[in-house]
Amino acid sequence: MSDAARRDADAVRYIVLRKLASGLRHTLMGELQSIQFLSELGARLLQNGADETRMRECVGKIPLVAGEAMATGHSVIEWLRPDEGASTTLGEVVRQCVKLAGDDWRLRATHATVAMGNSAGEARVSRTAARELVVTSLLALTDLHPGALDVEVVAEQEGDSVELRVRARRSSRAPPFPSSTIYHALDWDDVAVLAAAHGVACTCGGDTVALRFAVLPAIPGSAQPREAQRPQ
Amino acid sequence: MTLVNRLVASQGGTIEDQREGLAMGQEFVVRRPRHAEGATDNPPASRADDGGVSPPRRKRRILVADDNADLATSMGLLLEMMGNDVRVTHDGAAAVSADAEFRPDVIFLDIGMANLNGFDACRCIRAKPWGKEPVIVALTGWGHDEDKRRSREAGFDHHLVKPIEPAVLERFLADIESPAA
Repeated sequence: MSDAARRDADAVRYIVLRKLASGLRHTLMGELQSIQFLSELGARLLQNGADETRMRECVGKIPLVAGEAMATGHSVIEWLRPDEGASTTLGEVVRQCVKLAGDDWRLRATHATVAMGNSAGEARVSRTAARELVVTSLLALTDLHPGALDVEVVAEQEGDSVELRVRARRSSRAPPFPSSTIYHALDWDDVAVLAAAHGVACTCGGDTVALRFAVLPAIPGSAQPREAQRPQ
Repeated sequence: MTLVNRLVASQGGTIEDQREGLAMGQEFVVRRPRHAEGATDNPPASRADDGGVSPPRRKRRILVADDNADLATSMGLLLEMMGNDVRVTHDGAAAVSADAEFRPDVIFLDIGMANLNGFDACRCIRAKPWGKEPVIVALTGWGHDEDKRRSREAGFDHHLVKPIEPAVLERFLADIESPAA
């Protein structure tokens, strides 16, 4: 890949991260806020000599919410500094990306449906490539087609590759608020730039994008996905 | 250097090369405009030397609606500890129906809730015969100007951005003047 192509891909990545920042912040702040409230409550209960049952109830919740916030924080860092060699299942990537890119879809009357045919959802793919391409495709779709949408994500495994198709159809639902583009609008050229950077076959245009990912071998000795982080 | 030039220029600044000659090293001076002290999203927390925060003026009925169950529960417990009568729900529709019997003085609504988002929940509450009475507060991770404008349009009285300091929350409750108060 040429230096110019690498810079183009990095420019797209930066735009994507800026667009995702709101969703990442939303998730992380919600979890950190819980810890802060519980800690404050515990401190006040201690100070006031409150009953032990209530104290136990409060303190007992802290490890769980702290653990969730840790995992979310770890996952956020993984978006900022991806592990290039990591793999995960396509189903996991799609779930994360729909949640993250669709952080405000509820307010835009945009719905997503996901259909993973045969074993496509369990197919292992490069985590970085799949995350970047799926989330960028979702963002580009909503930028290119502002308004209420039905987003369909469909995947089929064919031999040693898996094809993911993302399609948007106009919906007649009335959104509570009109669409607004966060930071810069993305388009299909941006998806194509990232696809080329990852060596992923990509066909995009109109309201559809098709991405073909190479299926990676399962991790030896483990039936479970290697994904350790809590998904966004 | 081209990249640095662009970054500095994009922020309205300048960069000068102060090099005095070959083998003298390089020194760059970057000048960029100072930003005025801006208002924060949320009111400032009280300082320790303020003597702490004041308790709410009276026991308020407060409804908390947030689909983050941990957050809603912990906030509810904290508000109770502050001396309020609190109910907690986890979606917008439940918030609207819970209202009818509870008649809260203050309602904290998350925006991105399932079933009924906070904007629509606020509109539904405001449309009720008594819906003008409660102070309705958006408590959300979304803090862009656009989000705040939409909150106002939906009928919210205040828009607080997470995270919010417990002391700020307490002072906020002490400061707001509910029509029912």
